[in-house]
Parts: sequence; structure tokens; C-alpha cells
Amino acid sequence: MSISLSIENLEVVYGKARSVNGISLSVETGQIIAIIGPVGAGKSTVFDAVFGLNESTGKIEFEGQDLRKIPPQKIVELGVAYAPERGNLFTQMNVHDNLLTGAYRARKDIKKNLELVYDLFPILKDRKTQETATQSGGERQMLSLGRALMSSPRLLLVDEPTIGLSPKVCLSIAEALGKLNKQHGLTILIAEQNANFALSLAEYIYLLEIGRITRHGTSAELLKEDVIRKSYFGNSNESGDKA
Amino acid sequence: MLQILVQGLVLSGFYALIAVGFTLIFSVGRVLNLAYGSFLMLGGYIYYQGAQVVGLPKFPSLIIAGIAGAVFGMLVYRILVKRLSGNVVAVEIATLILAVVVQAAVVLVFSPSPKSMWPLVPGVLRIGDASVTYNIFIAAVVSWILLGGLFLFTGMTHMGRAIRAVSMDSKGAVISGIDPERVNILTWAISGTFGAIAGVFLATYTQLDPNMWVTPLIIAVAVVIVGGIGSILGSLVAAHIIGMLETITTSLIAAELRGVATMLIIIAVLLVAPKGLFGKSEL
Ligand SMILES: Nc1ncnc2c1ncn2[C@@H]1O[C@H](COP(=O)(O)OP(=O)(O)OP(=O)(O)O)[C@@H](O)[C@H]1O
Ligand SMILES: [Mg+2]
Repeated sequence: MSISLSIENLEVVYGKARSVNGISLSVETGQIIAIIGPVGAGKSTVFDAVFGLNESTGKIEFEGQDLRKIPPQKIVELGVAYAPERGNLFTQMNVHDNLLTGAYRARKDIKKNLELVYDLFPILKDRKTQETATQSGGERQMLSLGRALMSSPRLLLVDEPTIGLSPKVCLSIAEALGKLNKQHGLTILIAEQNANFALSLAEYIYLLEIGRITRHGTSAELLKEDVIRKSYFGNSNESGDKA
Repeated sequence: MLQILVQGLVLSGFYALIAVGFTLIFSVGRVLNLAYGSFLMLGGYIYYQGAQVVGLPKFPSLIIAGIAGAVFGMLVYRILVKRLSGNVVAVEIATLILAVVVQAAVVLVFSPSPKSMWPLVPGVLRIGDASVTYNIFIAAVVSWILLGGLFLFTGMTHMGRAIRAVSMDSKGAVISGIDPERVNILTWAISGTFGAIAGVFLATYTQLDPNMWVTPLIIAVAVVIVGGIGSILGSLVAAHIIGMLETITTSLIAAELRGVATMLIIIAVLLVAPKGLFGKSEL
């Protein structure tokens, strides 16, 4: 198996606070991996570091290529896509234009990718011309994934895809991610507070707490551990219910 | 009545061009370019130099003014604004100082005295009982062509969508592969062109003088405050409100009140609806 993403000794310091404190992880091609951790653990900070959106030290490689040498706007072109927390969607554009903007560096594949996205999330197709600002949380989450898929990625970073969504919508997001992984061979790295969701999808889990990886193992291994059950399952249900 | 309507509509189209060039910079870069009036003045003087001193035909002179505006816009961004990026107040002070420096330079190069400009096309257009000069009518038509072009460009092309994307969510734009630097340069170039061409129209409508950057800056700020800062649609609507009101005051009350009406609108809107008609963020 070849390595898709490899992070070694990553540190991110915001002002005086060390948000990520020397973490290492690796994602093999074809896997779904999750980073789970509570509020403020540093999950989003790790993803931002992969895209060069904050100042970090350590090694970040995608398919053997050093990402630090590449400006943020060129990273998507290499085959890494990012669906950030809360989407960062273009709210005064309609659904279709958001998707087209996601294809900024993959213009040849627009037709194919539009088909893929509208097939995966038919509701987006029905609401093509709706302005994003007026969409529901679930629709926005789908659009965020859709926009990322428009760049023809080989690796997808998804930050808290279930935040504030109903169990039913969480399920359809999980289905979509599973399908992308199995049928399209997409490698996926998920950041989640919702341990249930992460454990159901990912084969390998990293537990991130206050900027450090405190535990990692296969989902089966971690499921047995009472610590994780206790500290994260309760937590995840609460966060899943918030609007 | 018809006269006021026709005159107001024509003037509004031209104000819309002035305002959109200004608001474009704000919506993408979140800064007010207070040197915007200088873009208009520069356009006016370059056109004058081309058409009335060198003796080039009018249309090529207009194009040259537009290109010069684009170059000037890009230079202001690269040399000044980009280096101060992140510091909104510094950008505003620096661009205002630049406007004063450009005024001094124009005085030195072209003398302080006003120059009168030949109309783009002489004569008067009659529409029923109403009449407008061909000059201002053409200014309005060209303004609408440029605005329509901008609308198509931002709606239908990848680069145009990139401009809208950066203005709405810069992180979302960067992760989609958009280079914010390219978008900034491009918007400053478009703003420079719109400003310079509007400046030619303004100079032929009024006159060419080294103070002429002040009025369009006030018009632009007024339109943007009324329309909602950063909103292009808002600017278009507000340009019409202000253009109409100005025409009504000047033709029904007194020509001297031209600017006063505009200022009163600014203050009223700031008091009643600080975000403007369509705006998302406050000054
Ligand atoms: N731009 C920033 N400036 C200063 N501190 C920051 C910044 N961004 C994040 N932090 C801090 O870094 C820490 C990690 O934040 P991060 O957003 O990565 O957490 P997270 O694990 O994604 O949390 P959540 O699940 O709530 O999204 C937090 O303490 C946060 O306050
Ligand atoms: Mg986060």
C-alpha cells in the first residue's frame, strides 16, 4: 500500500498557544481514517496546516511530495481537496456556481464531476439555482463535499461533516463518504467530535487531545476501550443535536 | 417630467459606472480605495492629452485612457495596498495621500487652470419632449455596456466566478485553487479601467481640473453607502436613486444644490440603515 498523506512532528503555534504539539500520522491510499477529539483539540488546525493556511513546522507530504513548498491555492491541483468545518461556502452564489468554483483547477472534468455530485446528492440537483445562504445545514454540508469533489481529488479532508445535523442526514453523509471510498477509491481523512460517526466509517482512528495524539488504533480496538466510549460517545450525541 | 426622467436615467447609468468601479475593490479586498477619484482624473487628463493635444481620434484616446487606468490601478495595488494589507486604516490613509499627491502632480504637469473638453459626440438627442446631449447619452450607453460586460464576466467565466468567490469567502476560494493575488490584481485593473473611462465622461460632462477627483469620490462613497458596502447590485440601485434625486434637486430647486442632496442622503442612510439597502457589513 502506498502512502497518501504523511504528517510527522507537526507543530502549530498561534501566538503563545501551542495548538498542535508534535503530532504524526499517516494515511494509506484507499483508506478512511479519522481524527477524533473534543472541542479545541486541534483537529481543524491540522487540516489548515495541510493546506498551508497557518504557520506550522514539521513534515507534511502528499504522495511523497512536500506540501510545504507549495502555495495553498496550488494544493488542490495535486489531488487534495478540503471540505472545511462549516463549509466556507460562497453564500451569495447558487449551488451550481459553488460547484463550478470548486472545479477552478479541474475544468476538463466538470461534466463528469457534476454527474458524480448530483448523483450522490440528488437534492443539490433539484436546488441547483438556489442561493446557498438559504440552504439547510444538511444541504450545505452536501454542497461542501460536492465542491471539494469537483476538483477530482484523490485525498479528501473532511472537517466535522456531522456538526449540527440530524441523525438521518448524518447517515446519508456517511453513505456518500463510504460510496466514494469503495466505488471511487477516494482516500478520506475525517475530523470528528462525533465518535460514533467516525468509528462507523473509519478503519483507523487517531485520538487527538489538547494538541497531542493520545491514542490510536483500529476502530475495532478503540471500540473495546471504555475510556473512549465514556468520554466521547456522550459528548458526540450532544454535539450532534445542536443546531 | 419626461425631461427629468431621461436626464436622471442617463446620469444614473454613468454614476453606476463610477460606483461599481469603487465598490468592486471593497467587495474583494475589504478596503476603501480613496484614490479612486484620481483614477477618474487620470483618465480625463490622458484622454485630453490624446484627443485634444496630440490629436488622436476620440475612440482610440478613450481606449488608451482605459488601459492607462488599468495599469495605474495595478500599480497602486502592488506598490501601496498590497504592502499595507491587513491594515485597513493604513490603506485608507495611504490612498487618500496618494490622491493629494496625484493632484499636485497634475497641477505641475498640466497647470492648475481648468480645461474644457470637447464632447465625445456633439449635438443633442431628442426623445419626445425631452432632450439630452449626445455626450452624456453615449456616456450612459458605454457605462451600461461595461457594466453588462462585468456582469457576464463574473457570472459566466471561471476567472469572473473567482472574483465573486474571493469576495464571499477567501478561505473557501483558496482551497478551491483560486489565487487571491491574481484576483486582487484583476479587480484593481478593472476598477482602474472603469474609473478612467468614467473620468473621461465626467470631464466632458463638466470640465477637466486638478480638483476633479473629489466629486466622483463623494458620489462613489454615497452610492456605496446607500447601496450597501460591497454589494454590486446595491450600487446599481443606489446609483439610480442618487442620480434621480440629484436631477430632481438641480432641475426643480437649484443647480447649486447638486452635491448637497447627495450628502444629505449619505447622512440619512447612515442614521437609518447603516448597512445600506443591500449591504452585509458596516463601514
Ligand atoms: N486563528 C487562531 N488564532 C488563535 N488560536 C486559534 C486559532 N485557530 C484555532 N486556535 C486555537 O487552537 C486550538 C485548536 O483549535 P481547532 O479549531 O483546531 O480545534 P478543533 O479540534 O477543530 O475544535 P472543534 O471540534 O471545536 O472544531 C483552540 O484552542 C483554538 O482556540
Ligand atoms: Mg474544528
